[in-house]
Amino acid sequence: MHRRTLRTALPLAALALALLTSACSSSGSPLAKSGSKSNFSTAQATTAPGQGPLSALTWYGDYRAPYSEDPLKTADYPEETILGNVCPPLLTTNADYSLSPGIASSWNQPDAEHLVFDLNPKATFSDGHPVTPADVVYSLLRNQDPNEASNYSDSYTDVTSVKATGAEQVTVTFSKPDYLFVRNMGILAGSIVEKAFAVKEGANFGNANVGVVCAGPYTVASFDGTNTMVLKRNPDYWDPAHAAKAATVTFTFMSDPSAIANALSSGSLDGAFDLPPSTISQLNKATDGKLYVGAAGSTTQNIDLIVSQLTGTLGDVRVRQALSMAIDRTGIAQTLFNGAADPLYAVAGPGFWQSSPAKSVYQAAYQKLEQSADIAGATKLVQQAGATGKSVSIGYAASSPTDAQLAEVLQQTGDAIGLKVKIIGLPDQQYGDLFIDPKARAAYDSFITINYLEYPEAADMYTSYATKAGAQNFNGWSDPAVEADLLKAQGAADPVQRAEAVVAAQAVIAKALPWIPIVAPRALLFQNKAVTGAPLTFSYMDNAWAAAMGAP
Amino acid sequence: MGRLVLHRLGGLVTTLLLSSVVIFGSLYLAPGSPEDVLFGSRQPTAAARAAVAHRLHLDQPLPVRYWDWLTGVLHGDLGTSMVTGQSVADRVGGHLGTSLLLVTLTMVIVVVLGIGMGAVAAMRPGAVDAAANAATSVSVTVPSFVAASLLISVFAVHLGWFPESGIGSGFGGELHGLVLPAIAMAIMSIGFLARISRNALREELQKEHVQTALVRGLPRWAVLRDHVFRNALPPIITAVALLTSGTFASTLIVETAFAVPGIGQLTISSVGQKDFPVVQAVSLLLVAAFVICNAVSDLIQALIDPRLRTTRRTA
Repeated sequence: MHRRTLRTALPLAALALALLTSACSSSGSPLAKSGSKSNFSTAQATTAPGQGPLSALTWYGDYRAPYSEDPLKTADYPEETILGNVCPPLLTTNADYSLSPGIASSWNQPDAEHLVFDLNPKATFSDGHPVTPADVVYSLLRNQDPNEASNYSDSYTDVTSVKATGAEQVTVTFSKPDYLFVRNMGILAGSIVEKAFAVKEGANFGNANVGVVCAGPYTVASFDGTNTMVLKRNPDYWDPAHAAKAATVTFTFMSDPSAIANALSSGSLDGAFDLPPSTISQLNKATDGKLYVGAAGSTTQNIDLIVSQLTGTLGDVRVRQALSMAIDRTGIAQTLFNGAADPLYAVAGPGFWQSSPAKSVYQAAYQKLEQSADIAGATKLVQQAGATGKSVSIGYAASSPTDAQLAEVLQQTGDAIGLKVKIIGLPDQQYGDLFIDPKARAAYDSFITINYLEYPEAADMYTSYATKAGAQNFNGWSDPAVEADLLKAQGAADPVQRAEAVVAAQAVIAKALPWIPIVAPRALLFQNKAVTGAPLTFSYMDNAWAAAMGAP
Repeated sequence: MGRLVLHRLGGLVTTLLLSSVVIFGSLYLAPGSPEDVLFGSRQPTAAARAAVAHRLHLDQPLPVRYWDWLTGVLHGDLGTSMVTGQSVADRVGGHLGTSLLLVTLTMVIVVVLGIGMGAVAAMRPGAVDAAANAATSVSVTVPSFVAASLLISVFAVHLGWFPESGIGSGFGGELHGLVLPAIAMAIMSIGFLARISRNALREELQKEHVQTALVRGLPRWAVLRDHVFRNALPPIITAVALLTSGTFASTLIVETAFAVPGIGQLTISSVGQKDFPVVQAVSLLLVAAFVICNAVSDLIQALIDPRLRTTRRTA
């Protein structure tokens, strides 16, 4: 359930233009100043609600077209931005990340190992058939079917059964106490598809020329597989209170930052989430719309250095600590991200607990981890470890200019404390292999990732890379105390109890550093004056956000 | 002449066949495979991976896959995209028109301005020639992606004459949206063609028979048309053909900068995704464009120069 970004940008054009724009801008005002302040408060979760109908909405569909319309197939920005509008999950995640009824009109956990959903009898698929418990059971269990190879299968590790337990009721049973699973029912891991159609189409389900049948406010009207996907309003949507206001939504896919900024400032696109940092200075000047820059902790995105193996130079915890100690996180956030990022001292930073009822617990623990760059101290630590002059390799996605710049900064940092850092830009395919293939990882000591989780739950983020069973535990690091604490967090119904268990685990993880946190990007949203209603948080991922978009 | 056409067609088929083998083979040899793209960060079971590989025929040896592909193409079936499941003809065909229009528009601009500038420079030595020389010196150093960002900031952002991104609907809207991308690609080629035209025309102008004709009092326009332009055409046509095929390749970059929905984005994403059938189709289109441009240039040369109407040596 934790994904990385793999930006398949166009090496040549994107880089050339990015370099040009930065060269042009740097002669004028420094970029860092232009976008460093957030211009809305963290308490504000959406832009002003859409009032009137819209005939058409055009939106940035992110850096490439979706591979499939099947909500389970690929979890990445394009799919997760769009498909929640077509195939919404069982529960609705609101802009403030709270859960509310959706296809399930209510849910409860009678005990720690059972989760019961009562379906809304009015819920129907786009072809008019009602959503039955059989559809829900099928949809959820697809995640456990090895042949489907769901991108969300790890969310279902502790699920032992999903069964219809009434005419309108479905019960999920866990192998161990679990109060975290329910969050997955508010993202595409809980997306509901029509069983009959999915079974009939088999392996072709979700292909561009076959499509899907789901219960969302929109259906896919056309998809050319490359440049645009057009959604049209479902006129018979079963939930009139959340029916779509825009008759069509056209998603356009482009990867060149200048082209994106131009499309937005000229109005040919009405808006965008997940903007590349290099568009900030141009979009701040746009007159026909507004660039919203979130505050610290406005997303769950985290940029980290993943240690690939605990055998090389980075196998010594002192070297990892030294490298982490020496990184100038504030400088990176200011210059590489034009201010639209914040220093990150724990992988699950403020974005994971800003909206939590247990915020004070997390915050107190996080403040203890904050540190400013200390080259002298780090150099000493490297010497103590006897690692001076030893080499460390860092792999990164060569197609991402931000990754490339970040790798260079890390190289300078490492060299400054006596290590010999080698950075290797990898083509997308090879970079992607680092996450799948242990043999590919073995060639590098570490690699850069942009990770995220669709919902703010620190326990899940840590479980993913710092426990034995974690889907992102690439280096095999584990610790019995951490395992116990995260298990306790999973079974804790009370958010404060859970938070206490998580911060205990976090204290150990932050010392051991199986991943080295670097910065957390802020939410960026551009919205044209003619439209409104977009969420200001990362909640646009996996939800039917477009239904709320309307005329101001 | 008929034999020449046949000869060129044979060359086209041979070239396409050879390049299809090379492209297919190099995609196969490069690391990664389409099912990795489809699985993304997922770690499917070996059985699930094998099932997908089997469905995409990736489990068959290279020669078998190539043969399947080739026989499909000969039956008019370009195959199915491995990533989206759409037919390749649909994915490519939808955008090919836009890219062709863009190339045509670019080449019209290049031919009119390039030959025009070259002719003026050739016939007006001195200040005009020097000015044209300076202009072409600058323009040949402006790559299309640099021109793109300049043009966008001046004509789209500041003056608002043309769309900054994307194209309009309908033929008129599409043409309007393609003007800036076409100019971005044309700038470099104009300079190149102007230089070639100027030198070719200047050489012909200085020939004895031209001087004699002018001295004998033949009308200047008739001399220019029949003796100068006609004889200067071969190198100009060769250059236009080369520039046209080059323009097909540079659409990839310019279409991205201007967010033009042509085959550029399709090509780049398909290569990244190792979507063999789509890459194969687009690459072969580019190869075909190259070969056809050259063949057409040879045919035109043969039309204007009877000495070339044999199959033996044409280019």
